[in-house]
Amino acid sequence: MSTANTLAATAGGVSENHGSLHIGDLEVNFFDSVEERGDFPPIVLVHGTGGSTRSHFSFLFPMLAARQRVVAVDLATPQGPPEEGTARMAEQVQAVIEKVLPARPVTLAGYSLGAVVAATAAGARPDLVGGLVLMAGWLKTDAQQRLRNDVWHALRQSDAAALRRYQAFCAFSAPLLAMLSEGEIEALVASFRTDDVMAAQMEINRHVDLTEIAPKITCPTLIVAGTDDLMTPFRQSKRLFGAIADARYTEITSGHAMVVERPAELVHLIAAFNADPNEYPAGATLPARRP
Amino acid sequence: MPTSTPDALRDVSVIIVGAGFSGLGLGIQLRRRGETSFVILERADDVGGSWRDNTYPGVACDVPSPLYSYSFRTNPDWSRMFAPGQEIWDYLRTAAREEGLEPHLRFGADMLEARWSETDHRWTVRTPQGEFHGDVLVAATGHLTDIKLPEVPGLDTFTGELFHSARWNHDFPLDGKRIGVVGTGASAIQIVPQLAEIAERLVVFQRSAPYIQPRRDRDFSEAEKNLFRRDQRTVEEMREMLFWYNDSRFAARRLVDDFLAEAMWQALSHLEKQVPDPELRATLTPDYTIGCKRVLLSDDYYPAVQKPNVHLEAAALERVAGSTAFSASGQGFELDVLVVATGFETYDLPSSYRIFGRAGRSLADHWSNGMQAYNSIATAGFPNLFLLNGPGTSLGHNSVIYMIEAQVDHLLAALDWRSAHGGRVLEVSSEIENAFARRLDEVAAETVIIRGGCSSWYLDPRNGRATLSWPDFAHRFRDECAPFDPAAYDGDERALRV
Repeated sequence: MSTANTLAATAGGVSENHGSLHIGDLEVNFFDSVEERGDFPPIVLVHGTGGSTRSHFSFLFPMLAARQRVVAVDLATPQGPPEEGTARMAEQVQAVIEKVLPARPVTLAGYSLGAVVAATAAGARPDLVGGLVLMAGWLKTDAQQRLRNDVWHALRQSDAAALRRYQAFCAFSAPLLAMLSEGEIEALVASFRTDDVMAAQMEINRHVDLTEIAPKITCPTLIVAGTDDLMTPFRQSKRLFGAIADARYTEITSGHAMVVERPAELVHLIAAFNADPNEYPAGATLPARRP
Repeated sequence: MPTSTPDALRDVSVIIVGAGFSGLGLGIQLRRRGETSFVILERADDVGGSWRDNTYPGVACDVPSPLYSYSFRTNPDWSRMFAPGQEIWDYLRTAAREEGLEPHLRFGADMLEARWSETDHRWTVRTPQGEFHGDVLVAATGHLTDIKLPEVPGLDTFTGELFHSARWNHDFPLDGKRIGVVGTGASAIQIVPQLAEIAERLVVFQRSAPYIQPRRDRDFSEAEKNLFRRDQRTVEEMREMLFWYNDSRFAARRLVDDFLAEAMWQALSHLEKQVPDPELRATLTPDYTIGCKRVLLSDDYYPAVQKPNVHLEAAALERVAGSTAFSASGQGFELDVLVVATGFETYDLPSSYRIFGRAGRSLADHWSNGMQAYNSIATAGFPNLFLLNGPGTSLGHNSVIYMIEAQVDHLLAALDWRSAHGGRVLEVSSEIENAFARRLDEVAAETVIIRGGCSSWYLDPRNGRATLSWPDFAHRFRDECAPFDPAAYDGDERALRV
């Protein structure tokens, strides 16, 4: 992973420890803010497709670590059948939790593919997970998502420049893109990189199916959907809301890239949920935030 | 108020002191709840607080207007993203009128003294308009209201015209004059481009250079305003986007490397683009970490200081003799006018010398080691006193109106609780107040306010504490300080949420 050594050594009074463990021939890296602050459970963050702790959680990690311990996993991409990909990744998350935060409930927060992985881990090992946050996740890959996935793969074969533009177009909300200058759009487009690892993760994305696992999730769960998400449309989050027993639901005005578009609102949601997961009952839609 | 009719509001449940954003915001919420037993005492002759007082040329907000307004009274009519001061003042005056506050307002009613009575458990406020009695006293007196003049020898003997930016003398013609502006803060950088247009010579006394980022201001078109009127959700969505964007800027204040670098780049690339001369650029480059002082927004300040009739003096004003103003570098400037834009009394509030709680102790005395309050709203020894927009509320990255609204929510819940409990007196213990203050000090110690290497108006120079600041996300203030927990007022430290 390109991220391991580039994460800032200190950020906002938070120093991060970097560690790794091995599962088979995969090396799994993780970061740990170490310091316990307050009485809240530690939060474990799991990034999304093509991402890393650094690229997806450069805001959430240090800002959440201001008030509680945070551990973030850099997923290693498994070989083998894509149908089993999320289960293999969930095992990595479980292993990190058992190594770093043994014998205590954690709040597991996943974003995008990380949400699918986190849900899988929570269903497989309810003993490890005291609370679950699923940001821009999905229940089962549907035809709209497969269509997008088709275009992604086709562009990767034929036109790398177009693929970058397509990724920017899909990741961010229309209102955000509309505000940017030409230079800012180009900078955004240039920031997208694809490689074989991401292609393998896109193949895993094609085969996600949590319908068997979701009913096994018993902990309090917060589901966060982006209103303008083209990649995992909010209706997918609503399907999770229906499938997980102790779930509550909220939307933020954002595209799929909510960790970049609305990071402070995510800090608010995750921190408030971690402080009191049952502030809103199972089945509740959180009240609209009107700052 | 004709003196022949007795004032029905001499004796009320709530006395609000100040008719700025805080006092009016609370008044509106009380009216909307059908409360009538409250009076708003205002020392001036109109509502509006800072937006009434600051009428200097170029005065405008530096928080986007869709956000710098009440959430419960969005305004589709702002002319632009950063509305001129006059529009904000008009907004407040209209709000006061349309929300039915006029019967509750008493003008020329300067709080000369507010005193808690141990015998009848009520507050008495003495004003030039007579005495007012109330169960609860709300100090909505603000912290950017009482002007601060620099302690400069000879300033009072200056033979030219002298005034503070918040007390602008519009009767004095400035065209073709030799003008000095003291300070380079939020007011000065709005004033300087205006005066540069008309002064024969303009001297800007800069003690320390501010960080300035692009303003990104723009007009709202008629079509946009019409949409705002037809679909209120559009205004709210813009407001929400601005709020959460601004709140994300707190990561830089907390010194998270990537975001700090981004904020620095936004300011320094703006400077580089606008100021080609490396020597002048060096003079305009701050010597502390961005965010330690207020970050300013301007597109016309740097161009203004490069005009041939403008001189940027990279030294503070040190003394004045006759019509000559000398800077700390020893250079003297012959001036017709001195505009003092050095800000306000922020850490040692004049209003605190006029409020007397238990045993006749003044709030200023209680705050001799720096002002502080449980939840930024309640102090030990001052029963039934609530502070709006006082200690621990100032922000460098988001809208203070949001903070005020969170405090109003706490206060309304406190009033409800009192009503439901036989009008019980609400007072926090010193332990609760100190525990809250210690916690804020700890959080502030990890932010640029303490670690940024500057002296700012956020800090109390008597002790180095950031007593004015809320050192966290704005949203966390609502999460932690808006809820009312009676246990805290009973001395239960577990009720502390920070």
